[in-house]
Amino acid sequence: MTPHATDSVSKVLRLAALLCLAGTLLAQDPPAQPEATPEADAPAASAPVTAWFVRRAYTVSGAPVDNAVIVVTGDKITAVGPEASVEIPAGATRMEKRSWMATPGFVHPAAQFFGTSERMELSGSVLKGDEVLRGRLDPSVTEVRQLAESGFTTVALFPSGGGVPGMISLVKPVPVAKTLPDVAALVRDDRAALALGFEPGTATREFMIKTLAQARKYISDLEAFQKGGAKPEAKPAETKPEEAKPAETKPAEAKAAEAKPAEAAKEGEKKPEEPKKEAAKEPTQDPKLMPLVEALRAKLPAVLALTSAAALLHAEPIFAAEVAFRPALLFTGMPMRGGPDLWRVLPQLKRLGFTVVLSPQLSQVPFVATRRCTQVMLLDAGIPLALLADQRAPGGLAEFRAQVLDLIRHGMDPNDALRSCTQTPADVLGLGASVGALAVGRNADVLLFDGEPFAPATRLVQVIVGGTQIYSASKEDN
Amino acid sequence: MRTALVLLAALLAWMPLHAQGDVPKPEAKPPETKAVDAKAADAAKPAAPETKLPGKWFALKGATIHTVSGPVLQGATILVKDSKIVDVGQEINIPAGTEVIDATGKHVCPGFVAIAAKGPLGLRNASGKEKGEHRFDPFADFMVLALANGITTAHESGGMADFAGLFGFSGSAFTGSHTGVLGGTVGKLTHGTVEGFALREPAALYLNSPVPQGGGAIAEQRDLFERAKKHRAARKAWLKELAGGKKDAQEPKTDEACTALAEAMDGDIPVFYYADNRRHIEHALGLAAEFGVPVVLHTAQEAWTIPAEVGRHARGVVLLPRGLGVRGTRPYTDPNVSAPHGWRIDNPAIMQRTGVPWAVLTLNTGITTTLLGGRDLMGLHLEAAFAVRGGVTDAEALRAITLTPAELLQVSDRVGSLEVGKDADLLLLDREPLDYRAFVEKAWVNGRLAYDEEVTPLYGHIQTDRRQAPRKWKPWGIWGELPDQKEVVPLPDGSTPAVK
Repeated sequence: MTPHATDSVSKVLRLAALLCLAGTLLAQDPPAQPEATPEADAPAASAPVTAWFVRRAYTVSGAPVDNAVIVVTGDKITAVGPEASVEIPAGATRMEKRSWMATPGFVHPAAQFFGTSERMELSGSVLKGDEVLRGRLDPSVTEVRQLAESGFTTVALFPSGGGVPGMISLVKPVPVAKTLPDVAALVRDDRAALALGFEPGTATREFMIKTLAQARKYISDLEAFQKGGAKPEAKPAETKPEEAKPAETKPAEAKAAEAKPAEAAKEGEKKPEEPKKEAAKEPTQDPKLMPLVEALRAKLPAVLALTSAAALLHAEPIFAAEVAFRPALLFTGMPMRGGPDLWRVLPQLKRLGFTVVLSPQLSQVPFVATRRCTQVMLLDAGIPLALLADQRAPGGLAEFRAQVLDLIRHGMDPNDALRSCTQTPADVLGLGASVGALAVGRNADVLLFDGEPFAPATRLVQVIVGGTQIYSASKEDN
Repeated sequence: MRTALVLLAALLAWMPLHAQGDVPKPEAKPPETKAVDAKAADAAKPAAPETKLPGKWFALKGATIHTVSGPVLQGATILVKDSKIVDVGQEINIPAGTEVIDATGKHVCPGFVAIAAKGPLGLRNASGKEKGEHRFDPFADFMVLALANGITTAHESGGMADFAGLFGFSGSAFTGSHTGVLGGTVGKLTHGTVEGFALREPAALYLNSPVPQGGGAIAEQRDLFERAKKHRAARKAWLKELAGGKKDAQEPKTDEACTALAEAMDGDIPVFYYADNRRHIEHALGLAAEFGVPVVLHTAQEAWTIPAEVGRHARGVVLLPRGLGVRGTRPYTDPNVSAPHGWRIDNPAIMQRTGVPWAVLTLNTGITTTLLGGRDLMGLHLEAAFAVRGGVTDAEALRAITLTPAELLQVSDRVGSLEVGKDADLLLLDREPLDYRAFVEKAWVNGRLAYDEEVTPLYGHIQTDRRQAPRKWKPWGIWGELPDQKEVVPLPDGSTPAVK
């Protein structure tokens, strides 16, 4: 993956600069880690405790709970359940919002900055391939605010460049009404997931095959080196992360290895590399290739952006040999001719078992087809679906919930719809254990509505991120 | 016959296993596995072919089969294994386990070959180094519409849709120039899959007549031919040097069009030369004769005026039996021209009698319901039927949309006729292929069902004397195996089909 090849492919593809901002809108505190044990996660005794009393809590991880209480300690949820069965800690702030309903914050797996004047400011700093977000993001972009106001508490920024492998970055949240954060505080993780694009074409195809071959060669060299390098080296490699743990400021991180969040994955990847540097036959690392290597080894979440059902058929054989590579499939095509024509390839999608990332917009299917809702058909076929707000479409962000309501009208189960906005996209980003549900130990990312979350007249009244209110619909609630 | 089939089936049963061992595998398998394979192959060999049917077999039985390369067979059967035709005839052995489709009273013919097309391959601006194979849309609506009208192979030269006559006055009906353009795709309408698409890519060298542009262009084109001739000689010399052991010999290099033209001189690549009127045709034939380039004359409307010359120097002609219609070249009543000129309905018949291979072109090579709707690719077979009105036989006209275009495109080893060993690109029709009332009931491409009237609601609702009632309309049909249908689309008469 030489810079030259990268450039040529960018030129060939001429994809619109796709900015995707991936970031959990978390508080400034270190991000919570998945499956943390209560001990490890126990907040300091001084952490503020808030108990939210709501009419119904859609937990996503379980059944909706009526007359629920959600106890938030610091930036974590420490209890969720029916009011009668949850013990409210002494000294907790009681938020009696018994007409409201709560859901987990929405997760946006591929956000974009488009259609505002800020885009112009950003245009000089579009992420390309291996570049990182840090230092490039203008914190004043209105999209960050708009995303929060639309209920997205975890947002991802996609790099541009089509067929070029690049990194999805995570961004920290900001309290909307407060002062602008500095950029360093905004960027949470520059290398949270791998982003790949594939547009059918000879140049893209050849580039992808070549790049995959390079990554595969690195992996086989590495494996050969590890085998040949003998077992003694394997042991220190295993002990290393444990040693590293206490040094880390995020002690829960290593324990979350099972869930493979981005950071943990990278820690894992470093293990075999470091001992190799001392050895002679270590395969040389191409920093641009490493994210792809990690993704192929299932150590880094990946998102493969495709434009249509046809693109899937063209891409499938190229990636067929990569058995461990399980990217989410992001369909970015125009609603009429692109993504939503996925109903043509349901058997292939079912066989692949990858999560499909799609806008909730209804498709305008061609004349030979009829009115069926692709998103509903995907779920009916048992294909995991993550929804995203298509910011390129007019009102794509503001009307996100209305579009999801359309899907519900077309037969999608409301609970499935909510899962597709929360837990499933969180899983896509490898953050499925820390966000995406109202459950003990999760980040306190909560949306509060004054009615059913997707009902037309319902307002999103408050957005809580990591226990901090970052948006409120009315000043009196502020 | 039977013995031959048994032998063939035994061979087929044995071959895939054998071949498997030869294919380099991505993962190095231990040699023991290969030994097991070999044993399995040995075990399979004596087994009766009827009991073991590797691959997917199907047969169309009892049909009138238009083989095109041979006679029309009444009450015949065609047998397909995977993507190839295994047998065709009136008395053939169908192995047990074959899916047999009763085609009694129906017609089977090779899929039509559209020699000039824009759209049915679902190409998305494929050009230059971007191959159609890597970017075509196997779900393109145009592909479905073309299949529904019998086209299973198409040649797209790229660029804008070719309105052969409408925009043809300057001799630029297809993507080409007087100095030659190499490109295009000959592909199959592999609806729903990306496999087995490309037949020839780049497809051909396209040349426009320089005559309308005058002297400079004429000289440039002549220069191209001369350079190609020199290049061909230089290349031959180089190959000779290599063969003689001179390893450091320099390979002669020249531009793409020139290289292609040199290859065309050896018959390795088709050359399509746009020449619709007599002056253009004569100019093209002059070059073809002088440099030994077997050109295919495109849109050769006035070929009938000099059939003997055309027959002597051209590989074939592509023409419109119904004429150019609205167009720019000389109308046949042009008082300024004293020689025979213009369109004649018996142009194809004259070519046929002179022995010039001719293939059918449509006025609009795209697929459309506007502008030249009805004279587009969806009426390719109707255009051929007009040649019958001009004096050729039905069989000759059918050949002009199947085997002849395949030959002119140099893909006739794969498609164009129903012969053993050729690709199973078949149409099942309810009438004679060129009957204006005929509908394609099913179309197979590479042995795969690519169009089925039963499930694709394009023509299924049309009632004729052979089609008693609207067909069962399953709107999603071949666009995907769908879970149970929740929404029902009303039929044109307002009723709703029963949902199973």
